[in-house]
Amino acid sequence: MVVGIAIHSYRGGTGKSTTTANLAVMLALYGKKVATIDLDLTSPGLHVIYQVSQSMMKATLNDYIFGRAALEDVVIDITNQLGLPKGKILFLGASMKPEEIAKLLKEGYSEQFFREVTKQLGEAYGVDYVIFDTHPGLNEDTLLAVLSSDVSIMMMRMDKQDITGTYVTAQVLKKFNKTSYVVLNMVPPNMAQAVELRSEVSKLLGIPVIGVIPFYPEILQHRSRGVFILRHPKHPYTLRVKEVAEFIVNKLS
Amino acid sequence: MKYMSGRHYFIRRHDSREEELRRKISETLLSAQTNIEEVENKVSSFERRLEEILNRLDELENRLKKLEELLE
Repeated sequence: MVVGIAIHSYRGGTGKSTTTANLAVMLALYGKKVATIDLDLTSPGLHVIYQVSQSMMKATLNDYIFGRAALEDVVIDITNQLGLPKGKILFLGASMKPEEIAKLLKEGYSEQFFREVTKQLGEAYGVDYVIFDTHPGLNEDTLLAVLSSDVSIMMMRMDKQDITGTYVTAQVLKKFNKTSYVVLNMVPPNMAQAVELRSEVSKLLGIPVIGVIPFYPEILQHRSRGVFILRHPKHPYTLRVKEVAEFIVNKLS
Repeated sequence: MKYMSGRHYFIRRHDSREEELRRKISETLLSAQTNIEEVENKVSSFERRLEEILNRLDELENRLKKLEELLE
């Protein structure tokens, strides 16, 4: 069975794309086949982390959504490029052309798209997980993306605006009985040491916290040049991502 | 779904299930009637609890330092 996971956040800059790329690679290191889809339509960035140029894309996700290209033309297998010894990473990139972004935002993507692309990726490539890197916010399209996936993972920083927005989002998702989890990202290091942090956040949001990732300046210094955990396999960040991946492998399959 | 010689295409069709989901999302967002004051109070009390935890951690750290100094 293919599991669709939407990585979402109330506000931008929470590290959705960085987490998506690193988590996908970690899942591949567990031998899983993972497709990652860049749905942060207004500012697609996953391709930068994967070091895939737009010219490498035979067709974009936009072409697939509007029936102009087959899935096989959009999917890029970056397993070898990343040098992964096992598993598989597929990447489906969105167009960066303003007219394409506007068309997609105007006409909206559909629940059918999420259902079909997940199903087709399972059929054509035998993937275990499809991870949607969504755009932030609490609007109809983003909620459609979250609700059309099997599981939602909300990224949250520990600042008041993020906490408040995530709380409101959690309340909305509860009305749909959506299976949701939270990953705390860029947590101040002293706060990340507090063992009660997870339980306090879970209690507030009513959603389990499956990962606490402290703020590491090395991630900023890395400047999205490649997948961090591959270059720094022993860094504490890698261990934190591993913890989230282990949860997914053990509980969501 | 259009499936041609091993290739997979996506074709959007009229889907009542999707219309229903979109309607439900709009309805939920429009009728949320979020009490912002209540939300802010909850978040503020969460932040106070967090602050207490951090203070306790600081205190523990200070005690540990003093203990280490004593042991040296």
